[in-house]
Amino acid sequence: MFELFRSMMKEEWRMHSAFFGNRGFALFPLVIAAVSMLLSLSMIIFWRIISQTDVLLGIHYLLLFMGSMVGGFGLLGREVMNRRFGQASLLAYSSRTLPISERVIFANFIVKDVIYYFFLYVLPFTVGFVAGAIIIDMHYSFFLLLMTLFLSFCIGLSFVFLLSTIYANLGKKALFLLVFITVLFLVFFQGLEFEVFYRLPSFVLYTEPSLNILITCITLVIVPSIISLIFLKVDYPQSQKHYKNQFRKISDQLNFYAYSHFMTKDYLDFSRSEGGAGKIVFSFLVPVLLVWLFLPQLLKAVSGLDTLVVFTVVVAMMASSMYNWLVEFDMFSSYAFLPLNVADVLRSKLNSYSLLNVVPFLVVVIATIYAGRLNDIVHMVILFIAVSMYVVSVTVYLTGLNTTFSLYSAGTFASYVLAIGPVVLGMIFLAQLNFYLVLVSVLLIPVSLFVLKKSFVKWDRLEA
Amino acid sequence: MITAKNLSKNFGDTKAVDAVDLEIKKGELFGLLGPNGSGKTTMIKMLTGQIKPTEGEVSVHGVDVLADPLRVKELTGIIPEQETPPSFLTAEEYLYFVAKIRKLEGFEDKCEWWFSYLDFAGQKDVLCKDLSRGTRQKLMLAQAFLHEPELVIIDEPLINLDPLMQRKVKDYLRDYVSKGGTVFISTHILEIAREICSSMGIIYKGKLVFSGNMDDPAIGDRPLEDFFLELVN
Ligand SMILES: Nc1ncnc2c1ncn2[C@@H]1O[C@H](COP(=O)(O)OP(=O)(O)OP(=O)(O)O)[C@@H](O)[C@H]1O
Ligand SMILES: [Mg+2]
Repeated sequence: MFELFRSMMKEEWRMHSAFFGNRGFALFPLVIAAVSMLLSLSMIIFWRIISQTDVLLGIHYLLLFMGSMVGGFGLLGREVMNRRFGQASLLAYSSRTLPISERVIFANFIVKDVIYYFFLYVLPFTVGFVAGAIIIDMHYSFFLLLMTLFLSFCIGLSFVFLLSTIYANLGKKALFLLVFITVLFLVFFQGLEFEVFYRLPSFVLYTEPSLNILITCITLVIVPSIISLIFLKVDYPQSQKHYKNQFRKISDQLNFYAYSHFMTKDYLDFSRSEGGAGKIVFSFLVPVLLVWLFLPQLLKAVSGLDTLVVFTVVVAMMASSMYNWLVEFDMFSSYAFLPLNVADVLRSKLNSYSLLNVVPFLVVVIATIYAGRLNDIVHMVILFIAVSMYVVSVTVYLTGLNTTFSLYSAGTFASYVLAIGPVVLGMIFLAQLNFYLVLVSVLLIPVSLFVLKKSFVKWDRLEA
Repeated sequence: MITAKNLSKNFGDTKAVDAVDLEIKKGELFGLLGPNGSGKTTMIKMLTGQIKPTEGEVSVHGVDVLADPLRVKELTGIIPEQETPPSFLTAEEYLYFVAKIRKLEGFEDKCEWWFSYLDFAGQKDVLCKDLSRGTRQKLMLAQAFLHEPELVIIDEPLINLDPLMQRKVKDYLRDYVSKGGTVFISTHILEIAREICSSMGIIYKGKLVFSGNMDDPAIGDRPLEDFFLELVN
């Protein structure tokens, strides 16, 4: 049992480090620490508008979010790994060949994730944050904060595991249920007050430590995990399915795009893979709804910000994550023997990306109308297109076809944050000065095109 | 058809391919033989512009592979060692996809022909990821010949195929060459070479230790295994 656990840890480490070199990966925690240190140092500027408690609340939610990302990656990632390394190559699949039960393996898998990411994210984050605070003469209790942040992370992780189990067991039905619940939630909590956020148990544990609340937190971690394990469902290849040839039909419909055949393949990959169209709902629309719901409350703390501008920027950034979905099915090696450049594959992905962007585009349009600001619709659309293009061009330049893995590399991640952070904050800042300044974002479009051009050259050279 | 001069590839300290000179003429069915890890796949990847050589020159169809790898891939049918057709397309859709990439017209009949010749018409509407290994290999064969190239380069053509299918593929390759095509295959099964190849090269630890026609007097009537062991020792 312990042997299995150790091997999984090794496997995880090697897999990550193989993608971007040992050093790049080992530096990742340092980058995290640096970022969180900057965050707490920046308090010296922002203390007038954001209270210390709000910052603490923010980082607890951040870790909750990180936990759910890791969980989500474990869930979608399995499919990716499967594609990239083949069925038998990961230890998580070894129950098929070794005399170990799936549950034991999966339990190991979760514990491994938790410990691994504790050292990769949680610990460096806390160290950086507390160190930054000490410099500006604010004092947090390190061990308590480490514990509550870690609990936040675990709660996020275990809930996403639970969601994935529900989804694996119920499939489409769960999806509708989820959408239904979200809508209900939306209606019910329309008048949601900011105070509700302060009830995140791991945060409460920090502000008012008590045994009761500690037990609540631990329960929130353990119970969903146990339920997930009991109802664990590992998808063995089921009976061979037969599909109608849809290639010609779809590619004819898309033929105004230069890469219609690739888009057809993307579409079929997308709709036939695990989750299928549910992915849009699951990893895009639901988070967007949550942002829509929470943003006005969160922004109350910072006065004078244009909520719709911030929302549009956030949606544009979330839209860029669709690029990850598109590239996660592909390695260049499956095209290397055909007359194609890496740039061709990248261009084809951008074709598909532009089509997928119709969804967030509509979200922005609807939100603008819903907010009663039809007059500003042109500004919002331009802002959305510009930011979405810019973020995706940076992603393409930095990560090419390996997006999911490359962002764990210290250098890449830091460049990503540096290239996007100031620009996005700048846009929001300009809008605050004068709303019409959002039109400056138009300048991002030629910049993005230039970055894309550079990316094609870069990746052709590197992958060949 | 293929000319390589002083072709070498190092992976760190490993000399995967070491100063190979090779000349293959139009109409040959050339077999590159060698044990596991001897450099066959690396050699094929350099010939087809999938990796850059550390040193040396290579031209295929008279095209400098380093200067214009795309042109070489256009003119050649290639089957890589680890066949990885995109997983969520069906076998037939995959062939359509390749045909589109190669800008072909009227390929549907050819696809049908391959399905029936290699006896996998029953699998053509199954997702590539659910196909058996042998069926994937059949699909890759169909993919490589779809545009009727003058040259086809195959890494281990018969791997995973049952004896009946091996027979059919061998027949097809022989026939292809007799009609003026050129075929380059790699294999570690020596006897395949004697059965179908017109010429061969033997690679061992990255070095080309023999190259010549199958009726080369140096080989004589001995089993290839004996010849091979003699070369290696
Ligand atoms: N990408 C790579 N990185 C490092 N070493 C490699 C790489 N590809 C091949 N090698 C090494 O180069 C040598 C030749 O490998 P190659 O795959 O060309 O052999 P092969 O003759 O095709 O073997 P097999 O019959 O097993 O397919 C081996 O020692 C292998 O370990
Ligand atoms: Mg090989």
